[in-house]
Amino acid sequence: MVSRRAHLLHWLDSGLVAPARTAAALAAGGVTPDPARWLRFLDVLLLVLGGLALASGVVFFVAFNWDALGRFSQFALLQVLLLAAVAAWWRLGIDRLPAQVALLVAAILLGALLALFGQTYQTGADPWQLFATWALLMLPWALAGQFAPLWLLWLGLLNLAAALWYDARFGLLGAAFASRDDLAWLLLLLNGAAWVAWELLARRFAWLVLGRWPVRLIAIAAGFILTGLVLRAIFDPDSPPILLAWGTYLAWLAAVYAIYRRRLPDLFMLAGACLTLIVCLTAELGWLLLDVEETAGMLLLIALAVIGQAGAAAVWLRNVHAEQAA
Amino acid sequence: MSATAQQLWQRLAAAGLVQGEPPPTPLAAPWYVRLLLGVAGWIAALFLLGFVAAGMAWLAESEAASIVGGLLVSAAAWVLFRKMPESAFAQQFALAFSFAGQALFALGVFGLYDHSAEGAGPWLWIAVQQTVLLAVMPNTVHRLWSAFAASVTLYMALRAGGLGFLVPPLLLAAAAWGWLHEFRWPRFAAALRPGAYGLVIALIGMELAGGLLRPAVGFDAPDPERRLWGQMLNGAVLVGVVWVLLHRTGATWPGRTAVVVLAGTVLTVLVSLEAPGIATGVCILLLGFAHGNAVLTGLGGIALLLYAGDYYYELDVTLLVKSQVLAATGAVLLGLRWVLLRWLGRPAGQAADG
Repeated sequence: MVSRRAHLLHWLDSGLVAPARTAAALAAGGVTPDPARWLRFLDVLLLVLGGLALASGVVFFVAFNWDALGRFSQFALLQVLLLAAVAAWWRLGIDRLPAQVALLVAAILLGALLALFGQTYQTGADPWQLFATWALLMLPWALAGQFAPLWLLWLGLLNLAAALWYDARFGLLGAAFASRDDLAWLLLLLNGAAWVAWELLARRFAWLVLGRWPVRLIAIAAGFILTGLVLRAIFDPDSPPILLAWGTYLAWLAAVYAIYRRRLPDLFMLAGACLTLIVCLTAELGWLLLDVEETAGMLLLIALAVIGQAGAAAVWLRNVHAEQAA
Repeated sequence: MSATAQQLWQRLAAAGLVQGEPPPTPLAAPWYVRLLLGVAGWIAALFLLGFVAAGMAWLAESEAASIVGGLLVSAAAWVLFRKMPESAFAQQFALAFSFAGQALFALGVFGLYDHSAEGAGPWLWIAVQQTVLLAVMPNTVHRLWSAFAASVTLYMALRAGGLGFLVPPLLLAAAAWGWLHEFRWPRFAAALRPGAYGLVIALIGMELAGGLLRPAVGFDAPDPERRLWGQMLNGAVLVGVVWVLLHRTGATWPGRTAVVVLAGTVLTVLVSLEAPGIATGVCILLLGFAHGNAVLTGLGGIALLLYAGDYYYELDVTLLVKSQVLAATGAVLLGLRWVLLRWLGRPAGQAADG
């Protein structure tokens, strides 16, 4: 899909429009916004920025733990703001953007409130419990909100809770009992499941799509973790699940290809998979070749191999792109 | 010819802006494919440098040899870029070799200055080299990289003279100028746009290096007074951009639209002076939206998120002060929205000016 901007850029750059009429062409093509679109944009911009600045101001405030303001006032302040945000969500019409931003603000404030609770009563809870409780309590809002960023926040909280839980559970004896690989596998499982669920649910709930960026973000996270596991399997052959790492990785590559090549065309996913493949193959090649005599020659060989892979990826992605754009 | 293009062409033809049949639009690689090629180019360049270090140590050991060798490699890459623009393999080959050549050149230049990164000298040499590469290298990925590298090295050079705080506003102004004039000279558009992207990305990276990543890069805390000056200059650029955009949408001073929007911008700049990055991020967002550039708008959004994270970890100000600055900024922004919708929020077409 070529954007209107791209078409117009091409026509302007090739001199098909008289230079004096550039502005008129941009306006007629809808590339430069008219006053009404500017107003809508400023409306959303000010709302989102203002809401988030206000909410993070409150979070910073709680983190400062200011004693001069009594506990009671601190709780009152947070709770009043939280209620105001939820009320705003209700009043503003639930499925409209201002309402959704209000709910996101409420979800952030909820975390601040839980942190304040833990600070005040010294509950002795582990940090992971804070994030797990936060995720649990905001779940009804996420379900009601129909707003992709809420679900991304929720997934982020789950990731944090899982990482901290792992640290609390295995942190002290970690060296003896478990390697960090387990945590990586846990997070891979979590984000992989979220990825699949997101794609499946996005077919039913259009609001999850949002230009495909939420699911791409999740894919980046999962891809990073999986690539890291493969790299560890390459450079540390003693790390136990070598076959598991490579097996999972290859299965993942196959799945990405099978799904995003035709069924659900998404060039971003294919490009990301290409990058991980270049990184993994280069690492494997380096591991295999670099302990022999001819270091210089091998380095040159690897460099050429990377260039070849990237060139091949460029050609393939260009063809797929042309096919998908047609 | 896609339906979008056909429709767009017809609309322009109806307005008497174009004639005849639309030519097909060549398919430009999306930014993430270019990112992939740039990253792969650097990976290959690192192995090439390893090859030079292991097999041609004499080249790396002599300053003159590495400078001349680096320049020759870049020149060869230029020839390859020009001669084989259609071959993805040749382009990737040229990219990797040019990157390696630049690293070799930098190595030689630093060698001339006793491998010290403290003075401005070596950074200036590299900044000049990268600016030339930005102008001549006929490859989008390369141009973006060169604009980025030229910006960062310029920052390092001026930082050595205590003038680092001037660089972000300077880059923001240059990027804003570039984006506002991206249609002015079609002949130079192929260098202007990647260059302007490179400036914006360098700008975001620099703010991070001075903030969130400061412990990792080992920068000193910025002098508060100078930082404030930098913030004010950033704000001035934002006000300038808003002024130009208002003018382009037909709002004239002292019409109601111009007064409300400019006063709101100045107020936002003043209240967020202590919260670095808001003016910069908003400026990038506006530039992106003004020309329907979704990638640039996205970069502006990412910049704002990163700045917020940056701010939390900044140690010079207590969290209490920060929370007040943020809350005040938030309140002002929401207040502005209220004023904007109340005074200017009229049906489409009538909102231009009062």
